[in-house]
Amino acid sequence: MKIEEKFTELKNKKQKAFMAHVYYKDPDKDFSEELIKTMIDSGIDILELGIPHSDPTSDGPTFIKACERSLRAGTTPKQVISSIKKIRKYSDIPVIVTTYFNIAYRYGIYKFIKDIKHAGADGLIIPEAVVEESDELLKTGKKYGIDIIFIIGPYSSGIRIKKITDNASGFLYVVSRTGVTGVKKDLGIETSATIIKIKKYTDLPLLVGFGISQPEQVKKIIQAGADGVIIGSAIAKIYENYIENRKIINKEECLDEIRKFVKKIREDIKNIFYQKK
Amino acid sequence: MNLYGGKFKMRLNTKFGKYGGTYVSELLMPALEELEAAYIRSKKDRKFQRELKMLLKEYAGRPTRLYFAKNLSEKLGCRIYLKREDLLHGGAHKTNNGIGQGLLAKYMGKTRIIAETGAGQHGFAAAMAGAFFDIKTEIYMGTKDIERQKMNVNRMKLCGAKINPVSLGSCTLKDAISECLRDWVANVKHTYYLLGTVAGPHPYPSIVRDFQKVIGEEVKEQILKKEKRLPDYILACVGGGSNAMGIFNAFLKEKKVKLIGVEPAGRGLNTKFHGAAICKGSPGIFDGALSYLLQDKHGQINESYSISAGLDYPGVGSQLSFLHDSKRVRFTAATDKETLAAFRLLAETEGIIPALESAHAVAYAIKISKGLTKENLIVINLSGRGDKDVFHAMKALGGKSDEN
Repeated sequence: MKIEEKFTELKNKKQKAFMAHVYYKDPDKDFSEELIKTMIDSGIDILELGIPHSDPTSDGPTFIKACERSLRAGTTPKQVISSIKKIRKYSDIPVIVTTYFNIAYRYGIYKFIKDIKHAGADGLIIPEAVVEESDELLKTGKKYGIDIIFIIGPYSSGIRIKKITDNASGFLYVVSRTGVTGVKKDLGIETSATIIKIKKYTDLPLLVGFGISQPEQVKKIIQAGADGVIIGSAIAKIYENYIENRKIINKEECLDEIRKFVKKIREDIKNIFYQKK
Repeated sequence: MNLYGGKFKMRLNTKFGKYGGTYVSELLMPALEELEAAYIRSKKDRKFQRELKMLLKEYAGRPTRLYFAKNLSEKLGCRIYLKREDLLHGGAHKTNNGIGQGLLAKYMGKTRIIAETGAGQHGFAAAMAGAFFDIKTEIYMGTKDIERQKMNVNRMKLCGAKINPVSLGSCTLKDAISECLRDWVANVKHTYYLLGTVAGPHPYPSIVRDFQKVIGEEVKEQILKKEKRLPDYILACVGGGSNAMGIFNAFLKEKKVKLIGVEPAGRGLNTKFHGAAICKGSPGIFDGALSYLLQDKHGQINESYSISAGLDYPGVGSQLSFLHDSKRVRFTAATDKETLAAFRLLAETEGIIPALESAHAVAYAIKISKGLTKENLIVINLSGRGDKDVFHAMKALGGKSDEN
């Protein structure tokens, strides 16, 4: 399903989006695939599937460890891309590939986008692909129908927001606070102001991410006018407690905990939205 | 001063050929735009330039000497001059950049400085700037480097800087830079990131080069005075490449002067244990820029290795990457073994103990001297002094130091 179709569907259902971010093959292939299925079954709307990098500079401690574990399991970009084909057999929710620039650069940007498209992906997030460095990504993305997702932060100026929104498609990844990925209790105070500012420039959906794990944060984000939330490290934080010697122990219990967490967030988003109407 | 929400956008070319650029999180772009604006302003600001010049002279001790190394020259059979950046306050060329960017941070009204360091020379330059300009300073340093550069750790602490040990990845310079980027992105409003080399996103490669180019400008003046001509060779070691860009920049247009960058070959270029990004790497995106890089076929960054912490970095400056492709600068490498021999030779012939980083350039001078005559003129950038390395080098030289 295309990203745009997903948002139309959600809009018709008066729902907001829930995107979940995981790094593939952390700590191994079997668990990773079951984790993805569990999350899809529990109601995520969009999957953000990460290809690990040795130096993930936009990630905090939880995802740094996730990248390390995945790389130790021998993950290659090709494996992650093939895994999308498997996911496609299971579900039609939008899949967005996320990785660092050098992975795509080394693979060849044109070939990378072509291959993820053929595997069934719908979008691409590269945290260091600021709009100035994204000509080839945008051109190839357009050709193959891969949405290039851009990040906007609390300090991005009007000029920058305009430049970004003029080129963006799919949705915008709004970072709720300055910093890296990772669970934080509070929310950037700038979130509401940032959302209002961006809405002046675009009708694209706005998903808010970085540091989100609490129902209270989800509520504030939705009430501030966002079209959905992105949760990543909070999920990795749950299963990392079940990792011993690079293997998941008590897998069923672990997946059950994740199922509950995802369903809870899904319900929270739903309830907040209905309360507001 | 609050420059955010303003009208900044990059005004300068962010690239050298295809290299360089701003491959960073969007969250850092406003800060890079603000930094570029301040950098452009500082170049035209007479007060800033006057203050910088005064500090370089009175505080840091510029100009540094261009010393004719008589004994070494006799031994090697050509005329060798040493640019004595090792005599600069702080013990290395890093002070030029520390003072320059420290002043910039002050003019920008920043209240906190962060910096990465490998050998601790840049960390010390940043700590020095923090103390001098009275700005709170935190230094990120890999735990492996903390172990091998203890003296500099203590020097930084004495200047009041806080050391943040980094125990990620290879626990060296690249990981310290990654942690700096993470810190900066979280504290971008008030924090100045004092990057130590000519790598990283625009405008750093230009800023650091401009604060270091005084080295080459002085060399040009000094050698013309002493020899009435330009040198045949200029040699500099290359990790990130700030001392090399610093001494090369004034000679880029002097096509007759051969510019040679010496990378760390570690245990040999055919092993996995080296840090020769240009000699053995390929272009890739790392630490905010496109440059030569040690990486695997999937684009994961390889760990570098060098006996000298300051050269132990898998990337290299973007302008140097460009100068390699355009063939204006030739890149070669010296092994740990050759470096230690050079370290020792300079100490024994001239009574000068070079930093292990700078000893790489001396090692290459020894190598090329075999084909040269008394007429040939070599300038080596002696970018730092070796006090910090004495313990480490003695250990590496092992029993050999007692044999002779």
